[in-house]
Amino acid sequence: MPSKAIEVRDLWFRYEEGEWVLKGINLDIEEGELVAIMGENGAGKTTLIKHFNGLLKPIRGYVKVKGIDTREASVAELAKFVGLVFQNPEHQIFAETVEEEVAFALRNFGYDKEEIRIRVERALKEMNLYEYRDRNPFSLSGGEKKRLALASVLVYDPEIIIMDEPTTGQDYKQKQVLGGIIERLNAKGRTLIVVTHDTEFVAEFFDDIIIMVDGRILARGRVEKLLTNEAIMKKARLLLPQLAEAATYLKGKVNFTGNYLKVENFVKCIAEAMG
Amino acid sequence: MNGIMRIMKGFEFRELDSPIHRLDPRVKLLYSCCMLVLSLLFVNIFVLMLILTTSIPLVLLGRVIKRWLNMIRGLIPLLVFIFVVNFLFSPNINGLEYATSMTLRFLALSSTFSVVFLTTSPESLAMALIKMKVPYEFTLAFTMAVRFLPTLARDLQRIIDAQRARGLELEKGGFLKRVKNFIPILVPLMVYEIRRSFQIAEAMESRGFGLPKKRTFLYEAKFSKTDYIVTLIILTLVAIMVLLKIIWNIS
Repeated sequence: MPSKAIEVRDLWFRYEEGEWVLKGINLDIEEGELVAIMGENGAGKTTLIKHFNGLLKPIRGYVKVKGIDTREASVAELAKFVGLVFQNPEHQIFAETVEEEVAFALRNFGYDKEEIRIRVERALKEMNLYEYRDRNPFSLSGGEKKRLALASVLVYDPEIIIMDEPTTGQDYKQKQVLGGIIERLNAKGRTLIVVTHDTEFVAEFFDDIIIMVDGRILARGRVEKLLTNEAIMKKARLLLPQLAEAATYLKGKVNFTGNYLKVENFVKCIAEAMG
Repeated sequence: MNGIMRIMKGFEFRELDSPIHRLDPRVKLLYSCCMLVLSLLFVNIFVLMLILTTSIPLVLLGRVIKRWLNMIRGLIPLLVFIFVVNFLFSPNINGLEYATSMTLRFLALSSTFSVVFLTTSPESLAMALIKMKVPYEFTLAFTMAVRFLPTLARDLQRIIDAQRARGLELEKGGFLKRVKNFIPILVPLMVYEIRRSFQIAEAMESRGFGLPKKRTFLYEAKFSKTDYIVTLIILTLVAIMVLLKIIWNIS
């Protein structure tokens, strides 16, 4: 029986003076799971994930991360095993060199010098940034900055990794690189939660998704079930991925099985139908 | 950090329909300028108290009392500081009285400007300035600065979140460590805002800012009956105070 990485019970939250942003969220994420949280702007996705490392605390209900109630732990304590990568890398870059930027979290957590050197080198190589290690991080391109932000969290190898809108402003190649990183981390047994409204990206790299609408969880399930369900997608105001749309035209002619939103599975289903 | 947020929120306009919100922005500007001059003219504790109390009907009618009180709460450390410094370095014999009036003066000024900013949108303030023949470039710089505060507060919060997520603990360590803790917050903030200002400048130029044409406005400010009455009340108050100063020699 896998144990719970994150347990959310009847979570209600609002910012001061405002309306409820989260309205009774119940959610379990097991260790080693890979899940995308989808929903339109203002659905409460970012507010929800900020509860996972204690940046926000529930007003009603509770959030437990690896069994620890987030109300009873500091952000720094939770951050040791929950890595949160924010949407905009410009909100965190401050160091003079790429290397220093990546080492920031390790210094906060009190790692020794040698360990820092080894880990920074590994993280930079993994994110394809090693050759830039002495450069000023502000001189990097948009995609490189995004990878740098990722490296600065992955460097301390948190068990749970959360990414907020990692694909915004990224070109196709960068998205593929990112998808590869996500798959690799998940294969290593890490729990990954990715917030996005990029349906194509989700169709290609995810099997399990959560759809949020207006502070509530509308649905959770297999990607090929939810992303092809027009009623749910309309309610969530999300765009149908192209293969889901193509599949609706081919209904009756092709028997789609498995996760047919992935290109190779889609092609296989069509090949079978053609004999 | 909470105190700063409270103070910032005490100067941030929010749309509401109240008699104070509906007042002509020029009347509110007149009010704040008059109170500014009066509180600089007097050191008398009772007069300064009176200036402070003029805010109360305004915050009540304007339904901004919660934010006004919150702003004052945020100011408390600063008020204590002003009081202590003035008490210790008072130029005259009665240090207690002097420190009290200096603190009251600061409080009265903050309160007056808070009321005006809480109930007047930056756009209508700009219009008031233009009507008073201030060149458009200056007015724009002023409104943009005012408009920028909430954006700045939001960016600051995001940066703090991002660094705390990487294990930064703002409230930990000795004095030197705490000062050092601000580097990862202030560097991204400054870089980000400078970049943003260039972007805004480019966006403005690409929409034709700076073309020497006469501007027209979507909304025009007009004085209503209430505006005249309030103006009269403000001017009467100022006149009485000035008379007090001249006739009874109240300082």
